[in-house]
Amino acid sequence: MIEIKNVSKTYSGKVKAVKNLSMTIQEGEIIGFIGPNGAGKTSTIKMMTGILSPDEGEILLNGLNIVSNPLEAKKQFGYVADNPDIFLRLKGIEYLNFMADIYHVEVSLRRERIEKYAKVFEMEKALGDKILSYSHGMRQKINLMGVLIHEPKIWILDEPLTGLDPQSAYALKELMREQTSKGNTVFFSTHVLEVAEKLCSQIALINHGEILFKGTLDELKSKHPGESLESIFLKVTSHV
Amino acid sequence: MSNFFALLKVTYKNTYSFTDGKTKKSLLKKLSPLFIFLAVLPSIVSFGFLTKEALVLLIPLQQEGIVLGLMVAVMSMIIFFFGIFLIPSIFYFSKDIDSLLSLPLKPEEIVLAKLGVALVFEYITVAFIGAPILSAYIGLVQPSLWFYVILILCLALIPIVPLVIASLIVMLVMIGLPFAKNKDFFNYLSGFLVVGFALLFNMSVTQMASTMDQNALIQLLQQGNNSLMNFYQVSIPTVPFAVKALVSLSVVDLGIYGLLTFAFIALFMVAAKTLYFRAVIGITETGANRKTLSTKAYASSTDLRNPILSYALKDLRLMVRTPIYFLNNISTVLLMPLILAGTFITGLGSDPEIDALLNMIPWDAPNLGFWMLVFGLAVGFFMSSVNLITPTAISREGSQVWFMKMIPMSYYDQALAKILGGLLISLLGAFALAFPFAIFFNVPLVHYLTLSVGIILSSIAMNYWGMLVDMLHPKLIWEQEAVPVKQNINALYTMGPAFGLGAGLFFLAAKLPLSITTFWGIPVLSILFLALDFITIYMLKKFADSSMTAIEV
Repeated sequence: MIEIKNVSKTYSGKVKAVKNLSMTIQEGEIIGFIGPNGAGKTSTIKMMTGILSPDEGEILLNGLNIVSNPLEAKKQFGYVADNPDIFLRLKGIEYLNFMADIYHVEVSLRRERIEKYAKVFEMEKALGDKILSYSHGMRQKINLMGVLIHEPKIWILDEPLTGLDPQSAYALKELMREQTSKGNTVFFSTHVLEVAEKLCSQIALINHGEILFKGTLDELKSKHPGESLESIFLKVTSHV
Repeated sequence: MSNFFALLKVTYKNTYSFTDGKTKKSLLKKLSPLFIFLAVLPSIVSFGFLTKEALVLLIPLQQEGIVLGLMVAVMSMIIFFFGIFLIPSIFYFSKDIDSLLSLPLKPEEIVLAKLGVALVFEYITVAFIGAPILSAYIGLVQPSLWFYVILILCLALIPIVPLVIASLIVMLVMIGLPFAKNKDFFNYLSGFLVVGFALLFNMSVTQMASTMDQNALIQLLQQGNNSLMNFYQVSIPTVPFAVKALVSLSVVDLGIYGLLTFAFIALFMVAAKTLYFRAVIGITETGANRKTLSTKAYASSTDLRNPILSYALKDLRLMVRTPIYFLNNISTVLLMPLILAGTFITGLGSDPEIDALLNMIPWDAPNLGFWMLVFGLAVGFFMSSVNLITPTAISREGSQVWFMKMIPMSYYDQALAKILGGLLISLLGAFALAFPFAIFFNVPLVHYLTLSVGIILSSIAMNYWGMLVDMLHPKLIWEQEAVPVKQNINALYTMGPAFGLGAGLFFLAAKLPLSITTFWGIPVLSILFLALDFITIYMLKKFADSSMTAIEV
């Protein structure tokens, strides 16, 4: 479960990126975090993962406070950043094994998972090469595998589908569903409304650092009868 | 031309912008240029005094021009060598290349804008070399107003030709050597060539100093009228004209110098037109095997490791595989013993400074053990500070520092992993430097222990200190991988105290009476430096969390 309570974040004492944001995401839910560029999505995600500290409020991950109990809270989630360019001079296999060491994954389990996910994402022939030689999509996949190797209870993904080929995007969406069926939580940001429509049990619309709507898609549509999801999104985020 | 100026402006901002536009600059960061200036000020001032002393001797002999000649020659050579390093990263391997290539720009417009950006950096070099020399020269010679006009024109032109020559060489290498297009390979190659050249240069200067024909030099001095200027030659063809223009205030030479400089720019444009696109297109492609790992390779790659060791191994791998870090952080430390040994052996018996240093060490005195401890401490300080591994450990993460903040590993443990890598390289370098020295001078075997203790104690303190410095003051905003190791003030915060402590130790050791150092020297010094280790460890433990939490990217 993710609990965000009255969280605010200001940059340089001037730009308010997140304003008094509150929401709770229950176990077993996939939530799509939707908003235009600069809405505050990445800032919120960075606060959830301990990369940024909130100026006000608190964030609990499975009941553990990310600020006051960071190490235990960080064990709860796996995070895929919006930019997959990390440790480019490591080989794919070295990166995965490093992640497995950091999260104390047993040898037999890590081997089993590497094999499984390499097959799912068609990365078997790339593991021995440096990440530098990977395409954007392949870098995204190795980052995802780095998260999946320790099978976290909470997935936090910033634009995870960007650059993925259709097969891998499908595989990731299936994995997300599989996670929630196990009672885990998936929180991901996206621009693609269709993905949110097909995948999410809930969506949260954010703009100018404020949550404009949180609930199911049916609830959102019932408030705007006869309108497409796109026009609802544009209306809610004040782009029209 | 409008394309050129627009491109120059954008490329300049992209290369020299040091903020992320989000985070407010701290007071410490705002004052960084002042700190850098204050740190190099003593060197500039002492260089100025040195020039003044030389001028006092040279003016009566009418040889004051040699100072200006040397200044132009040194500026040109330094800019040329910087250029060999700088040009590939700015022209070929910068992150904006793919974006620029897709724009409707001519090749010469792209490279000319990039040359303009490189020039800005070189003018800083010109200012640092020129300031002390010129202040001394102007103060003593009191030249006419005309000198200032020619000087400003010359200073504006000086960096152009060396940079153009470096660019032409790099462009030809890029076309001629297909494997040079591999960024990593090119960086390793050029790095080793420069280090090799430095090694040879160092050894030849030491040799020259001892074998220079004194009579020829005196004869040249006696001829007057700045004839000594002919004594040195440099390979930048425009240098003699710049020197003559400055020394003789010759408009003709200034004119020739200006014309030649423009001719070089024209040549550069022609070369860029024909050579640049042929090499730069496709430069971002990287090779890969795309083979399934063998069962054996797979098994060995997925072994369980302690998280701290795994983290240290990851850091070391990245450092070895990133050419600029390998050359700066690792190769220098392993080559340094070689360079110093070369200088030492060639200077032995002919260099009075080396002989004086050796005479300082009481080879048969009862406190030789104490001296070996002092030597070990100094070597540890030196080798740990010059590798810059820990003072740039966080800085090298750059925008990826978020990873450190996201994983369930304490900041102290992550720092410890980074220190392990730094300590390993520091100890390798220090032992490689100290032990052959001890063997060469037949130091009794028992003193190897005190030597090792000294090396270990100072290496621990220095690596922890470096880590602390970088945690409190990391340089995270950069485009080029070279920036966190080449343009990082943390180098001064680490090397300053290390060199100060090393020199202070030698000074103190020489002043203390034999009776004290023989019996109390080793235990007191060991306890003092053990305490220093504990203090640096304690400080890192105390500040790791707060300093890392304060970093926001």
